[in-house]
Amino acid sequence: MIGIVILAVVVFLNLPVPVSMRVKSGTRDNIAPFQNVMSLVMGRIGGAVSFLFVARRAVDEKQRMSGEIVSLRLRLSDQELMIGENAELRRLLGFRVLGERDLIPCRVILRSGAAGWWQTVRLDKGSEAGIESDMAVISMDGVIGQTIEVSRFTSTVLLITDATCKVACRLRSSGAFGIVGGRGVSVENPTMEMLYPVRSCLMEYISMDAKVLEGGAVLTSGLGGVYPGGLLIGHVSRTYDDASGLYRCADIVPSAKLGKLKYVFVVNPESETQQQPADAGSGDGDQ
Amino acid sequence: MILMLLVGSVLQTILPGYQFLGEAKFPLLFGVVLYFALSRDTGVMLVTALLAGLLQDALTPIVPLGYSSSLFCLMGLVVGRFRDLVLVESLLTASFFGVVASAVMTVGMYMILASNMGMVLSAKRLVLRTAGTALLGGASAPLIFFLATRLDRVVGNIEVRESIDHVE
Repeated sequence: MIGIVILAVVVFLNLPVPVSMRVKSGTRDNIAPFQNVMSLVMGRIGGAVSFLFVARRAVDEKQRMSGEIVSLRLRLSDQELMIGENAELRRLLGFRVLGERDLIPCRVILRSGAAGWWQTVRLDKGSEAGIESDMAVISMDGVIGQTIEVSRFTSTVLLITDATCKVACRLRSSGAFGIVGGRGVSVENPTMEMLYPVRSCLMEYISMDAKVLEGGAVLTSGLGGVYPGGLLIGHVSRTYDDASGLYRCADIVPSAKLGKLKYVFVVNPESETQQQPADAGSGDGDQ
Repeated sequence: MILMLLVGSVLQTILPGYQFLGEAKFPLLFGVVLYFALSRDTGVMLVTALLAGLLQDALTPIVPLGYSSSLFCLMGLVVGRFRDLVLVESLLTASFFGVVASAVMTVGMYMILASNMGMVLSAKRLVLRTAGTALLGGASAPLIFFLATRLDRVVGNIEVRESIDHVE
């Protein structure tokens, strides 16, 4: 029996990657319904318990959010007007029109997998919903990560706070480029400072000439092929020179609330609609 | 065994990791392996360890299949050596093995991931995670042993001998 089990272990260790991924995907898809139910039940119980304690605060927050919804609706109608004008101007100038990003809404069903070595979350949708690996995932507040393993009904997202996640980015204020990487800590918690420095993300390879403002926004640059440009990653909390003295670094606080993720969106790559360019002599050109 | 592993895998993935414990998670699947290591023969324990390890690897992103299985089998063989030397029914025994075996398993898993997958953790975080997993293992193992023993009695895997005046 020992020999058979050892042989089985050796076989599994040496399985080709596609076969191994199919086995993992199949296992996840079969267990996903139970995880979904457990996640829903625990969410409901947690919501009911927290409501009992914060009922009054829930009423105040509802009133505050109602006012916020009204102001957001006004801003939305203004922006729709601007979008229409923008599209018309682009058409007149002969630019290509970029389609809206297709967002796939998903619910977070669990965090960190079974062992918790990587900063990940699992979503309740997979390839059946059009999700593929290496797609950007965002929340209402900002970028949260990218899909890494996708089965038929679930997807695993590597969070930007994981040490293996790297995002090409730029500073909004100066446009300086850099790379944001995680440090393996899911949530910044001041109490943890007693044990070890808690910094969620680090932006590296910033030019020494670049102006880095504390509190400045960090956006995705669109380079690298996974994250579309212009998505908010977080804000600079501290800047300093790298040990080598060749470039600057900045500690980044993610804008997305990674410790309280419930609903997120997977970004489908942009679709482009090509239009015929305007006549050659119609506009200022360098012909 | 299958039911225990399925329930354990669902709960282990749903229950969150704790930042104060180095993002450690409850080692429920490993707890089931420990129970079988101390209460059953080697063959059954190895099959349990193989399946538990495959489940854990399948539900953990990035880790290839077989890493946890090999570690669980090894730890099961070591723990199984103490089968005849300890009182399996004692919750203190379960807690002790839960603490020690979980700590060793965490360090072993980190060494495998560091050498094959390039995982890097600072010494402080590794110590915190090891201590966290040991604490959670020590807390969960008695409950797993208790529930598993009850389940075995219900399905008839364990005979319940009744005695009169404590004379069998």
